[in-house]
Amino acid sequence: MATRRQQSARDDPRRDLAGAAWAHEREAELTRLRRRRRRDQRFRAYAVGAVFLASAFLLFFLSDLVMKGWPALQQAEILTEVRFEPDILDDIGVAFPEPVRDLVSRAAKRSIAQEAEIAEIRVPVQLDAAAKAPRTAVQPLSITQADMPPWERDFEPTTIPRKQLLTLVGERGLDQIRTRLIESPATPEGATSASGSVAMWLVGSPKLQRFMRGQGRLPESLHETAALLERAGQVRMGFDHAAFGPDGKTLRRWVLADADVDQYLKGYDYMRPGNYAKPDRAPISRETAERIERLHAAGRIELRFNDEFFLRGDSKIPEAAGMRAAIIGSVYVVGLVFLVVLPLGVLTSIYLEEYAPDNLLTQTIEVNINNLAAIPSILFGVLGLAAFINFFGMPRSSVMVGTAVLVLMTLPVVIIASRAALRAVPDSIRYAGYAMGASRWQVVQHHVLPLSISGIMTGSIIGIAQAMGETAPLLIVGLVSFVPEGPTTPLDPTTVMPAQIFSWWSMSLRAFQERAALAILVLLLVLFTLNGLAVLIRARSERKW
Amino acid sequence: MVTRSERRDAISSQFQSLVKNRPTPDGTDDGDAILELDDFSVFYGDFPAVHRLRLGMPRRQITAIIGPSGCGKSTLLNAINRMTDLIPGARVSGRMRLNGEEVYGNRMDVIWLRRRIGMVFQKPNPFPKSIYDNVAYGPRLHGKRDRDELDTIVERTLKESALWEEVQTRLHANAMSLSGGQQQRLCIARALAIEPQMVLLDEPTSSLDPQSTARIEALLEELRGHYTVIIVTHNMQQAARVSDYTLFLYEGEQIEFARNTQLFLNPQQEQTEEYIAGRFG
Repeated sequence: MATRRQQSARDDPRRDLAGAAWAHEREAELTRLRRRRRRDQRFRAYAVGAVFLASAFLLFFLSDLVMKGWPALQQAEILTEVRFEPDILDDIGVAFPEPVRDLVSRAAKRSIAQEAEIAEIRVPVQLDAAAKAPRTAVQPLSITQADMPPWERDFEPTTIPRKQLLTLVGERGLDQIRTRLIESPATPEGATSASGSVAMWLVGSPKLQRFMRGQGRLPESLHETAALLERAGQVRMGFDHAAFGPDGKTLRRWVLADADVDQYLKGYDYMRPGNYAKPDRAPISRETAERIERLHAAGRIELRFNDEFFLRGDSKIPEAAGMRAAIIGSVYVVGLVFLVVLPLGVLTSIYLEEYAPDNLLTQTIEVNINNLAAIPSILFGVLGLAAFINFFGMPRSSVMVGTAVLVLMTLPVVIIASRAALRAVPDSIRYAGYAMGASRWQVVQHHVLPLSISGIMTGSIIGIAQAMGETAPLLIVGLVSFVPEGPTTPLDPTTVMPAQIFSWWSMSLRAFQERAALAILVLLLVLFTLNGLAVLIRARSERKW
Repeated sequence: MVTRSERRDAISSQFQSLVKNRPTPDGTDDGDAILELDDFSVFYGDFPAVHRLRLGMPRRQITAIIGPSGCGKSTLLNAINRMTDLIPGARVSGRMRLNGEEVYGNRMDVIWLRRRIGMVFQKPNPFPKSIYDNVAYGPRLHGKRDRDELDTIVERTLKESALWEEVQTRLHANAMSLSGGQQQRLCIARALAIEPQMVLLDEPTSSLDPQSTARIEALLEELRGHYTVIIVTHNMQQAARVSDYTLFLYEGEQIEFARNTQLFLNPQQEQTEEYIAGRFG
């Protein structure tokens, strides 16, 4: 039976109009349609407007960063004569001519000083015919109370074995012995002992160099020996005559300029306090400014490409600060995270999706994983502090603890993405596999995984990109501390790019600010690349079913 | 008012031309049963999808299972190769014996069972691999590695499935590039490649066009005598054309199980008669 509404619709005279009535009705209808079209266009305009607004913000943000960070790609350098002569070890300033002396960066002065000096070790060497090769010429060194400084009483005389001495004498040192052996072997130098051996100051091995400069650690026993030799005065830092000749040399070089010079050349108002190194007064005098101008006009000062930025680690001296340590640290930490999270996450999601029975335990696990993905990241840092550092005793600021914290953070994301990818594989393929007599693991391995691998990789890469940009939890476990060198083992302290950016940005000097901006651009580049890779993988995998 | 016998004759004449009376493969009157069901039931939770079946499927002949939607045909088929194990909440009672061995016994290895039974699903589901790899999948699972042996198997089964001519030049093309009918024939080839004892087909032609259907029915004819075939179909004419025995299920109950010459031409149960007359279903 037709309803009343249907009935009246059937009888509606408008359905069957003719002539003027038809035209009038048509007009009304068209007006309604026009109004609707306008409304649609308005909505469209809103959407386009929103996209525009978002793009404008993005553009503004990026251009601001680029403007701040671009100058950091250049660094002022001075072309000058550098005197490599013994007296510079007492006052490095005199290595440079007067007009540029106060314009050269402290970092450059430090590295010139390091270049000019070398660690030497005093070693008994047998120079008579019995010694054929330099290695065999080296004799054990005995140390007595007489060698020790006056405050070290009750010293037990010890003998340092040849083997240890040989690790502390470098190739250059052995060359020195070789040269002496070729020359007349009878010329004594320093103290002689009865058997015809002579004490020679020889250039130390790289291990000794590192020890004397306080960089890196020697193995325990060697370290003790070196420390003893230092106290006993058998090891010293001296001018590197072997490299620079008996009277030294003068070389012409581009050296890093001080940050003030750099900022001046980049055009910042040098009279304004706060722009340069000293925040409370004008950093450089007019006279200095004029001097810089003259040198610049003469081509002796230039802004050159700042390769130091990528070659050096962090430094307290702004012009020498680079992000090498941060990049290595980031790659190391995130690389380890990837290696741990991928198998763990994929296997977990395979278990949850294919194997786990649908009971309360499984559901609890799933709810927990979803919640973990939503927890504020800083809480993972607190967890890292409490559990990994305090309870498990992991070293603070180390790669290991950073990795552990990031693994916890990234795992839920990867599990969720993997499960979605596994679920997307249609059941019909699984059933076909089972019906052929494949076991559950064979079905997963032969059919489910190959089809879901691209979804899994996409989700993992996105999770890893997130981990790369994480700052808050890593700050809490200490990865923001001043770490000039990249890590070599997982126990070494490290920093990561976001933490480096954070610590640079907090400094007031403009030179640091500009480096922070450049570091942000580098980090953004890495993230865009990673996410782009994820998009590419997703686009390239055709859905084959 | 049409009398019962008039109705009978009408049905009879309709199916007379379709039903075949073929000799049993070993010459006896009734083939021996490869699959015996003894009071067999399948439950989804408390609901009995299949209720207390008692019959024996004949060896190397074709048995059709017919009945209206939801009567338990697919469930029964899935229960034979224990695919119901994969459905949570499914359980069975009663006995099912394959060649005398308890299918649901403690000593039955499911993988071993499934390798002896091939299954073809309603919607063609080839693996998204090459045609060659699809057919070779089963033998490879068995452990066959020799390239020549696999080549032979692939060629033989594709010929058996009437697909060889169409694909022999592109064995390494992706299986998804085939048409629906070709895909289904590929699935049949895949099932035959492991040389099963029994082949189960769940409405294999319901999503195919008449030409493909005809080819597959011809294929089934050729399988008869070599393989035991159990086919679920909701098309009674197909059942009459293709099979030797037919099982009619209604709401999980076994209404009638008999040779086609009896079931279609002289049904014993009234419900059977009503169903094949098209009065319901």
